[in-house]
Amino acid sequence: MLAVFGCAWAFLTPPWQIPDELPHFSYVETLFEEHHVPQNKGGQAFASDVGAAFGLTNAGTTIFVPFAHPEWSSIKAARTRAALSRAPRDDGGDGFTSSALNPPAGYLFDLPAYAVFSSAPTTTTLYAMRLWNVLLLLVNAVSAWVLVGELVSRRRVVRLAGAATIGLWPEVTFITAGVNPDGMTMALWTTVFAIAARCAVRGLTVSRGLALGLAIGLAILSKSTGVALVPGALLLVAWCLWRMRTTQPRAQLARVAAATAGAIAILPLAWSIYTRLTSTGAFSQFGQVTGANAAGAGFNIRKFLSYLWQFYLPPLGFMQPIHLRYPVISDRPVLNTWLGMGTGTFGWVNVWFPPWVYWIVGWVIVGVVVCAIWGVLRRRRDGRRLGAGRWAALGFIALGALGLVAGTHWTDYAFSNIGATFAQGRYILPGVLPILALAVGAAVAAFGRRRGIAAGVWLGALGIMQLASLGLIAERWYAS
Amino acid sequence: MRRSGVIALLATLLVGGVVLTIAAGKDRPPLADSLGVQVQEPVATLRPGSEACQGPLQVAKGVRVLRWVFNTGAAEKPGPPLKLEVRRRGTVLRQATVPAGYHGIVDVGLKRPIPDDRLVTLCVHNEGQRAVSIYGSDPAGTGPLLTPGAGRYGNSTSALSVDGRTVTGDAFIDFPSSGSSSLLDRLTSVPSRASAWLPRPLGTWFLFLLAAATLLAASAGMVVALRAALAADAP
Repeated sequence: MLAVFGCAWAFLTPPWQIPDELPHFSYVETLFEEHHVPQNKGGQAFASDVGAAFGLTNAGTTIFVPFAHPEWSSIKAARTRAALSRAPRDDGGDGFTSSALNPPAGYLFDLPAYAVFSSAPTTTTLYAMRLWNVLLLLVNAVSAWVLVGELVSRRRVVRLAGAATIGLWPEVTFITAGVNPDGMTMALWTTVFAIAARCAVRGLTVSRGLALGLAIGLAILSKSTGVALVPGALLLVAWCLWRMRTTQPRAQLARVAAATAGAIAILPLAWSIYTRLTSTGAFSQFGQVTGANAAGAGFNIRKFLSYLWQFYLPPLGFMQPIHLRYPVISDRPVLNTWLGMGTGTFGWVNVWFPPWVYWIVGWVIVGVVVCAIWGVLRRRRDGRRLGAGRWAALGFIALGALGLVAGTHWTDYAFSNIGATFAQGRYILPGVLPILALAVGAAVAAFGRRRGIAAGVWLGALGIMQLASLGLIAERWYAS
Repeated sequence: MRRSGVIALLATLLVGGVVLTIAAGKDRPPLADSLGVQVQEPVATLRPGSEACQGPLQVAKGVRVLRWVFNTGAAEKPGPPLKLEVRRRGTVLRQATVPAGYHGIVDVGLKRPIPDDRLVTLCVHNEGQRAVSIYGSDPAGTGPLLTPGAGRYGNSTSALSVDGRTVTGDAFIDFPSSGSSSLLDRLTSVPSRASAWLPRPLGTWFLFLLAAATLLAASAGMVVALRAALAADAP
């Protein structure tokens, strides 16, 4: 079911209409064709075939002009495909793009799909990579299934509702079925949470510690925001070791600690050494923040707190008002950026539902959270407590999500210093959506014997959201 | 519980499906095809004897009406007579004339539809003694990560030229249809348009198949998943 939805997104979205799909594709192309990561040396950023494919699909105009549409002439497309097969693919990767300084995991994952279709027309290669990435949607949903099973309930209907929340969330399917490392980031964060939950509930072993560490390392290598997982992971490991101190010999504790810490560090360390040796950027986001701060007024704690307040609440009299640059459904960033963009905005964040759709989603989320809290309280009343392991796992997840949101705010604030904007809803989905999946699981479980009905309504609503989202993009790009 | 869960799922899908169908069934201006250009500003001025062409284009099957917009400005006088031609590599395939005196939207009928199996260029020739403005758009790029006005984004796959010289911006040309006008009807053209860039042999048929599979996944697939989960949970 998820694979079908993923394929629908992969094939219905016109070439290059996933955010930054052009530079992300180009990164993979540079890796395969030139055997190195993009160099950012001031040369040609994109290979000839990608530049041509971008223009000949009318992609730039379609991205930036709300009434333009992708080229849909079958005659032009046939001619273009033939021309693209002959265009050079190894003359790019030397100039700055928005992905040039990114860590490589998402791009390495795409490499096999690119390699198999490397001699096909560029647009065909792009579709192949999108399809390949649909696998990440399945990984994400399976991880959510495990996560909900560990922390909420082992009942399948509860796990199904939780897993479907992530697998059928419109923004997740849209981004994952495209060429953009955010899809992998989302899948890896859910996987990290699932492994962490297993470690906390069932105990930390060498193999689980290795799995947790490697998943965190990979998450960092797919997007540098993955470092937000590290503090919580260290605390979780310390807590697990403390619990094991009476049942395990010290040597075993040391082995577990070393395996986990080593696994967390090994991949980011290897990447850092590689980038140091080749003089390329390691983790672009840190550079973006420091660069943006340097270009602006620098970090100012009062301004930052004012920015943070106004992100969520109306400005107070003494605050200098900060205006949202692109309000679509609301002037309040928490609604426009987190709720709107996090639920589902398509294209390059410029294809939106009417505002009332997001209000409904917002109130439904509030309802889910209320039901989840009600369910947890009922469990306590019945004497069924969550247990220390589950609380520890929830703490780890909350800490990771909080770190991610804080990091995104930090970067957004830095960008606001130079009059630019950064935050987008999808950036916090890796941390926030698994929490929603857990809340959905808890809410469904709270209905007791009627949990089948609750799950049925929830699944139906997600299915309708999927169809509505696909209908929305079909109208925007092909029926205008 | 198994049955009531499935009924709840189907009821939700039914209600949501009805809402979606009503939303998609709302009438919109009937169009067979469009260049994706809006009427925003004059993009070219045709002096007497001059000619403007927009192309190359492939239009949908059965198009026999072209909608242009001329001289919408309040100060602009009624337009001079025009000759419209549909050309392919210099050969005139279709022709029509527009008598003087128009102002704003002009629908030009052709005796026979424009061929849909080849690329054509649409040209308009000023046959009168006064200049005429052609309206269209020459948009500046905007977006969440771009500064407004960061670049100009005319269509990159067809161009407007005046007397052989390419100009920035595109002419507004729509292709009205006499058929039905709801979005639901227009969505039927989606598979053929969305399949343009698919690798062959995938084509329109594949997207129809995928649409059917998606509807099936959203209904039967969910029912199967929910039934299986409820059955596994049954005591």
